[in-house]
Amino acid sequence: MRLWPNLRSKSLDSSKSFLPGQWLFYLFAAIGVILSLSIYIVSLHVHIKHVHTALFNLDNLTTQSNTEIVPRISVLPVSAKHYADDYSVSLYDQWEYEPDEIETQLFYLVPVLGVLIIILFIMAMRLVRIARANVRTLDQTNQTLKREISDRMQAEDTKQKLEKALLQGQKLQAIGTLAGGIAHDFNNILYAIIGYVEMAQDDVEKNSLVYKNLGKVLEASHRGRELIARILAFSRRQQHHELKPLSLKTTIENVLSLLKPTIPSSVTIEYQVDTHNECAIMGDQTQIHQIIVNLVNNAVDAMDGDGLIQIHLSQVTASDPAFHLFPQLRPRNYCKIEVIDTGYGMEQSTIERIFEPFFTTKEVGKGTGLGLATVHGIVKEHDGEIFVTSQLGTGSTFIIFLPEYSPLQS
Amino acid sequence: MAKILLVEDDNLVRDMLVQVLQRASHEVESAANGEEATELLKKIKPDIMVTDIIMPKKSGITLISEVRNQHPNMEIIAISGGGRLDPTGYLDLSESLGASVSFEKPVDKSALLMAIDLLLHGKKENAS
Repeated sequence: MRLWPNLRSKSLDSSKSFLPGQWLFYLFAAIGVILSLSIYIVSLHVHIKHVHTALFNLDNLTTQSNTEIVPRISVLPVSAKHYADDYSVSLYDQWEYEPDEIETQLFYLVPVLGVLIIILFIMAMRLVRIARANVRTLDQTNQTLKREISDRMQAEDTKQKLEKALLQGQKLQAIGTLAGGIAHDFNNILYAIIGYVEMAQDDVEKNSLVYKNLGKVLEASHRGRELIARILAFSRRQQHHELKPLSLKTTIENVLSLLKPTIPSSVTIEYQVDTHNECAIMGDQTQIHQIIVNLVNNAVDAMDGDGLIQIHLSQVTASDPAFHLFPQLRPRNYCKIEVIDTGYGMEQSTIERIFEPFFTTKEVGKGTGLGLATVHGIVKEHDGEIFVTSQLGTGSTFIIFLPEYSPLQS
Repeated sequence: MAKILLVEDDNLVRDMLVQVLQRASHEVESAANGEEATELLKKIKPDIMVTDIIMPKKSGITLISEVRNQHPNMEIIAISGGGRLDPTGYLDLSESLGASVSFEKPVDKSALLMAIDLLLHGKKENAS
């Protein structure tokens, strides 16, 4: 399979050398010229011989000997009469030499052959030129094609990468559109269900099975309401947010004090600040709240309601050697938030998909698969990066880098 | 007991709310959209208007600003399930236009009834 494309490209490259070169046509021309010249010489020789013979015979006829007659070299066969005139030999009248047919034909053959060869030569040259031009065009086409193919392949590659990235974005956008579109109707539907069920509950005895079953209907409706609220919250995230300088240290403190009462008492939360700085970033307060809430809730769920969640806040300076652990990060000053849990941990395949919207490992109804997708989106919006490390059985660590804000920079 | 005008385009929700309000011994008139509500308001003088926001023909937002101008004494409660924007966006807008209270759908029954009682109470206090 690998041989074929190599072979193909080689034959395409060297296609020029397969065509007869110009030298072959020069050779033909040379042969033609030599051939016609030799024919000419031979025929001239024959002609001279004939003239000699004729003159010799004439000598014999006449008594006049010792006549030195050197026949003029002529490019065309001439009659003996012509010589006789030349040499003023009156007796030459009796000379009956006439050039024979073959002689004449040979003489006429020379220019005909020459012209023919020249025509052939010109035609051959023309052919060569056309062939050359074709080869050049082929070569050019080949080059253009090759370039086109590589361009296409590159484009395809870029397209695939973009598509992958877009897919994520499109998913999110689709949810947003969908959520906005259906939220109104869906809330109306839920509202009708809830309202009627509540009234029906008022009409039956509180201990009856009907009352309890209606309670289940209400429970389901409330779950639906929560789902819509979460999807709406997620789609709202895509709207533009105004970023303001804020202190991560106090923001996290505030959100944790709000969060603590909502999490099970068997889960301990530790907040540790490893810096004397306030850790200022350009951010949206509500969105930073959301990050912490989602990550902590995620950790609580991962621990099955029992364990320790550590939240570390620290600073990473641009010169920190730890930067090559995270090649995605541009070297600059960052604030680092780590959320460490002692939960189940995750497998590699789970880690790879953890930020995908609608990806969830939780039971039906417990998670929407939007929590971490939201976190990811927010971090990206803040020009930051999020990483996750995990070990099955020991727990997971989410590391968030947010660019540090210093008033001097702006 | 209050005289309430309920404006809601969704039949199911409207009928349900009419029942809920009637069960709380309020007198309820209902309209399916802003236009119907404007027509009704020519004949009746309710104490409180409970209105949806996203409705065909005339939206709750238009209705609220009209009512605020023409019947300054009428209390308005806005309810919305949201649309392309989140419900809070519409509700904030309706409150800035003159709605006294606003609720996100699905509205908690007791919260709605309590709000009605409070508004009614406030009105009476103002009147006396």
